[in-house]
Formats: sequence, structure tokens, C-alpha cells
Amino acid sequence: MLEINKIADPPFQKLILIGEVDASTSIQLDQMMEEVTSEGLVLIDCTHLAYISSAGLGVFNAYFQDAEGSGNKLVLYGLSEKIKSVFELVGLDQFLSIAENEDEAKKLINESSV
Amino acid sequence: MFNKKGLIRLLGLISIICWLALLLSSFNYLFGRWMEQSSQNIPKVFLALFFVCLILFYQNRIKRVEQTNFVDTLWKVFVTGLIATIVSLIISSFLSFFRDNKLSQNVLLINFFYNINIGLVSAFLISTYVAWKRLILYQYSKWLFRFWRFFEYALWITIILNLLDIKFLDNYFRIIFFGIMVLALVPLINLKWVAYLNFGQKWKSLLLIGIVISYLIYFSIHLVDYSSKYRLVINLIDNVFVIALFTFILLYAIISFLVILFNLPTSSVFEQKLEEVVSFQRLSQSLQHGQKEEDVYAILLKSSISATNADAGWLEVNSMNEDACITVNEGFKNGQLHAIKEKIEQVKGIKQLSQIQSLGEVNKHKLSFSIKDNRYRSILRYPLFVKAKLSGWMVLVKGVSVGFNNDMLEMVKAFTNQAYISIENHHLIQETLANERYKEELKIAQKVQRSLLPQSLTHNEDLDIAAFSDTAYEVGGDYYDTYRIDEDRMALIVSDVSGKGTSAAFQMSQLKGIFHSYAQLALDPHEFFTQANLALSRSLDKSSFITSSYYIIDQKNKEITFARAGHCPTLYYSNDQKKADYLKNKGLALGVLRNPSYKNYVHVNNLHYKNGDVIVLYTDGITEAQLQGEEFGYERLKDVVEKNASLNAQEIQNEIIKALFQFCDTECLDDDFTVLVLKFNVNENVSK
Repeated sequence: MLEINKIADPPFQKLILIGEVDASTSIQLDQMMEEVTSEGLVLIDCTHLAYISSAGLGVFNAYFQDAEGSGNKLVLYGLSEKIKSVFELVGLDQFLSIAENEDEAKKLINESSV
Repeated sequence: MFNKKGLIRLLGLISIICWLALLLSSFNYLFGRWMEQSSQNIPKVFLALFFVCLILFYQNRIKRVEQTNFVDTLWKVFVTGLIATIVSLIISSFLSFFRDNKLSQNVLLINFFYNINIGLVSAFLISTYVAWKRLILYQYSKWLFRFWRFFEYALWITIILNLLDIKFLDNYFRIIFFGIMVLALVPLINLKWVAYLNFGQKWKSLLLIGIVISYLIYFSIHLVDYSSKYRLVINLIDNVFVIALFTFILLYAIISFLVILFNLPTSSVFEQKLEEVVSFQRLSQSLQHGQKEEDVYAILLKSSISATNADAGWLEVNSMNEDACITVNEGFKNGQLHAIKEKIEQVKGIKQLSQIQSLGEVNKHKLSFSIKDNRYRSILRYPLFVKAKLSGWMVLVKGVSVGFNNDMLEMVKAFTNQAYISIENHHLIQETLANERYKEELKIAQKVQRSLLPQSLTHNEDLDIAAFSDTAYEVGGDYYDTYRIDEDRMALIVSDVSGKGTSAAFQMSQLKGIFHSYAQLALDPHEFFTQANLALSRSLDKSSFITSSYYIIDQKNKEITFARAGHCPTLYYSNDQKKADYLKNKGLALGVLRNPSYKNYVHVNNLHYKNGDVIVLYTDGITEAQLQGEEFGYERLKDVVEKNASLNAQEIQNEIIKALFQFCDTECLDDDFTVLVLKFNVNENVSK
């Protein structure tokens, strides 16, 4: 099960992920990502993300393939140790911006977009 | 012994013989009376026998009634009565013709004619009685059947009582007669069959029953007339059985006649209800015979029009696949439909109907409206839902104002639901068929993919190797393989394509191609991953990536060179330290960074193996196997390997799978999983 809450916090779009991203729910995430990444600066709150499968990582991988050079910015924050280790294992952490909390995430996104 | 037909014929024959015996015994009595010898009892016995035979004859002859042959049964009664009446009329006219003649005063001749009348009247009464019995017992209950039995037995007993000397309307006669009539009360009011007659059948039944009543009246007058005019050996008027039977038949005929008569005005309602039931049936069966969605909607429209008495209607709805708009129209010519559509658009409140979101909301809205048109005065606009989405409308129009009431609305609703169920079932069946086909194709894919995994793994003198792999679906995205580069070196790969199922399986087959092309070039892990990433970058779907571990095992130098491309860290058991540890070298999955800079992210490590060392390669299906939120995890895997490191590769692999299945049943393994165990058996004495 995955619940995605989208909150507009101009100039940011905030996605709050609650639950698990697996092969089936990754489609849901993919659609939402497609929607928000076209709108600019994106923050993703993973505080309540319990699990992410390789298909879920694939969604971020796809974003990364698209975002290269497009100027869109995305920062993930609030990842649990487990989730973080999954990103690290695959190596995606080296390309995606990952912050500790929301404030840090906003700071990170502002710095990089300057 | 007998078949049914033979039995009927035999009973008919016996009846005739009994009648002849009755006739002869009557004559015998007449002669005997002159000789003052004979008794009146013998003809009475034969009469009783004659009745019994007739009852048995007609019980067998007149079949059980069905809904379709009520009128046939009445027709048979009518014909029997007609024959009896005609013959009886001929006899009367014969007698009245010779009224003044001495011949007509002849006792023998009169009794002969009277006997013929006895035969005819008995046959008519008994056949009618059996016909009534069939009608009364149409759809009988247990209680009705018991009441009927009582009545019937009582009636039979009167046949025997007739052997006693009873005269018409004496005390015995009255007691018996009233007793029978009390018992007849319950059967008399059972007229369920009337409800099943349609309008035309009711008229026919009225006519036939009316004629039957007139026969009965004629016979009663005729018999009374006879008994008052002539001296008779056997007088039917004195026979309680005949009188009781006669009264019963007449009463039932009159009651039936009246009930049918009063049912006439309501029969059109019953017929409409019946029509609705038939419509339901048609709707529910409609798609089973290879019909199209459109046909179901046509039936729906027709049924709705007839259920609401509407004059015309049309229907527009998106098909289930949303690829077409279905339009059906009934009772409109092209030009008319367009004109009325325009008028309906202008009706107040009709636009608000589009806000209906779900079937549950339908009842809250007003669906019938009045319109201003020369031809039509009121309309009903009913929403049609497909896949819980408002997809179209059915509109019914009527020439009278306020033409649609709630009952009609309920009926339309029921029809619509039924139609929807039919269409949905049809689609489900189609989908199931398609799925079956896919399943077959997937089975083939599974076979092909199974063949992509190595049947046997390359061995090495130093190396004992075992592998196990299973998929969550028919096909999976895990891959492992070995390749012997030269005498001393072999390459080994374990990979996991992101996602699972068919797309993962296709990408896995690409990886196999890459592995076999580059491994034979004896590329080192760094070069191998760089090239593989390059090749995959062009072909991988943008959301896909592949994690992989690549090993080159050099037997000569007892050295392992390896790199990790985002794959699960390898578990290495050192026999010296009796400890297992994960090799946490850095790495990046294939397909994440799709440019040459990928090479900067490949980190190659090497180590020297010793006797008894164990390498365990696996995919995340093992460590991420979950039971109620808890994962199998790295620690459990490590424990199993440490405990069983002294076993051979196959045994260690078995222990790992066993531990995994003990942790959770196979059902909770919802990802592909693979485990590969390598065990080094270096014979140190021989080695240099």
C-alpha cells in the first residue's frame, strides 16, 4: 500500500510518501513524479516510507535520466536508515539529493538552483 | 405388464362391460320382478363397478395439467359434454316423437334409454371431476392435498353407501350429502390456475366453462324429468354419489367462471409483469450467445419502454472498452430524434443530472420531466453507468404528462442493473479467455527463460559451486552465470534486474548476451562493467537498472578480482577467522549513469582465497523476504553461513534455502530470489 499526498508549498511541490513502494505501487509514484517534476522544485518526504523495492528505485532512476540537464530539482528527505541503505546499495544516493529534514532539503534545493 | 395405453384401453373396455352388465341386470330385474324373484341389488352393484371403472379410466386418461394446457383440459371436458348432450337430446327427441305411441310406454325401452343416459352422464361427470381435480391440484400444497384426499375418499365411500337403500332427500341422503359438501369447501376455493391464464385464454375458458354449466343444467332437468315421468330400475337422482359429484362439479364451474370473469380486467397487469420477468431473463442471457453489447442495450431499451408503457426512447452510451459510443433508438425516425434531443436540452434541471457521480446517487435526483412538444409530454432520463462511471443516458418519452411513476423507475433501474451485469460478465469472460492465452504464452516465456540460466556451472579444481533460483512470477529478472575464460580463470556473474515479471525477463536475456560477449574477452571487472553499462544504456528502459556482481576467479594465483555494480554485498566466509563478512565495496548499478563517466564509479577489489573459504552471492529477494514487516536480513544469512561453513557448497545452499523457508512460507516470497554458493577446496599440500 502506498499513499501519496501532494502539497503545494510555493515555490516547492511537496510529495509525502506513506507506506511501501513496490512493483505495483511504483506505477502510482511514477505518475505522481511525472506530474510534479514538470512543475519545478520538488521535495519528497520519505519519513513515513517503510519500504522501497528496486522498481521504486527505478522511478527515481527514470527521473534522474529525464532530469539530467533539464534544470528540474528534486530533494528527498527524512529517509530511514533502511531506506537510505537501499539507495546507497544501488548507488543512486550519489546522484539524487538527499537531506536530513525539510529545512535542510529546502536549503539544498535553493543552493543548487542558484 | 401393461403400458399406459394398454391399461387405459383395458379400463375403457371393462367400463363398457360393466355398463352392459348393468343393462342386462336391469332387464333381468324387470323380468324377474314379473316373476317376483329378482333383487334390485345386482344392477346397483354393477352401477358401482361402472363408476369405479370410469374413475380409474379417466384418472389415467386425463393428464396432469401444465401452464400451457389449461384450455386444452377445458376443451376436452367441453367435447365429452357435447357428445353426451347430443346423444341424450337424440334420445329425448325420439321419445317425444313417439310420445303417443305405445312403444314409448314400454318399460324395457325406457330403461334401455335411461341406461344409455346413465352411461353418458356418468362419463361426463366423472371426466369433468377428474379434469377439475387436475386444475385444483395445480401447484398444490401439502395441506390442500390432504383435504383433497379426505374429500375424494369420502366420495368413493358414497359409491358403496349407494348399495344401501337410500332415496333422494331422505335423512341418510342429506347427512351424507352435507358431509361431502363440507369436505368439498377447501378444494372448491382453489383456483390458482386462473392466474396463469392470459387474456385470450381467459375468454376461451369463460366460454367453455359457461357451456359446461349449461350441460350440467340440462342434465339435471333431463334426469329429474325422467324420474318423474317413468318407472326406473335405477334412478340416478337417488344416487348420493352422483348428486354429490354433480353439485361439486357445478359449484366449481360456477366459482371458476366468476373468478375468471372478475380477473379479466387485471389480466393485462399480470401479463405485463410476466413480460417483465421474461425481459429480465432475456437480458441476463443475452450475451451468452455471441451477441454484442449493442444487442443488450437494444433489449434494455425495448424492455424499459414496455415496462413503462413509454411511446419511444433512445439510448446513448460509451461501450465497455470506451472505444465506441453505442446508440440505440426505438420508435423514432431520424429527424424526430434530433428535434426532441434539442428540446430536451432546454428542459430545466436536466443539466444537473450530469453531476450524478455514482449509482447510489441516482435515487436522490429527479429523473422524470415534462416537456413541451406536440407529440410528447413527459420524459424519463436515466443515467447509465459503465465501470462505475457515468457513461451515457437512456431517455424514454411518453405522450401523456406525468407519465413516469416510481414503480416504473424501479423497474428501469432493475433492467439497467441486469443489463450492466450481463455486459460486465461478457467482458469478464473475454478477459479470462485473453488471460488464458497470455498464460500459455508466459509458460513458453518461462521455458525460454529457464533455459537462459546455466544448466550446469563451470567447475574448477579449487571450486565447489551450487546455485538456486526461483521467480515470483512465471518469468523473473534474476540472472547468474559462469564462464571459463582459460585454464586458470573463470568469470562469474550474479544480477538482478529492477522490477520483476516479463520486462525484467527480457532485460535479463540482454544481460546474458553481454556477459557471454565480454567474458570471453577476458575483460577485468572494471572494463566489463564499463562496457556493459554502455551497452545497456542504449537499450534499457529509463526506469530500469540492473544490479550486478562480477567475479574473476584465478586458480593459479588463488586470487579473486571483483566489482559490485549496485548489487547486494557479497558474503565472504573466511575459514581462518571462522567468520563471515559482507564485502562492502563501492559501486553503482548499471543503467543509472548512462554516459562514459560511469567508469569512475566502478571500484575493483581483490583478495586471495584460502581452503574452506565460502563466497555467497545472492539477490535481494533473499534478504528482503518479509514476514509481517520483518525482513530475513543480512544477519540471518550471515548466521546460517557461519554455522554451516564446514559443509559443501550444495549443502550450504540447501541450508540457506531451508532457513529462508523456515523464516517465512513460500507465499511471502514476492520477489525473484537467487543464491549462489562457492566453496574453495584448495589442496594446500599439492599447491605450490
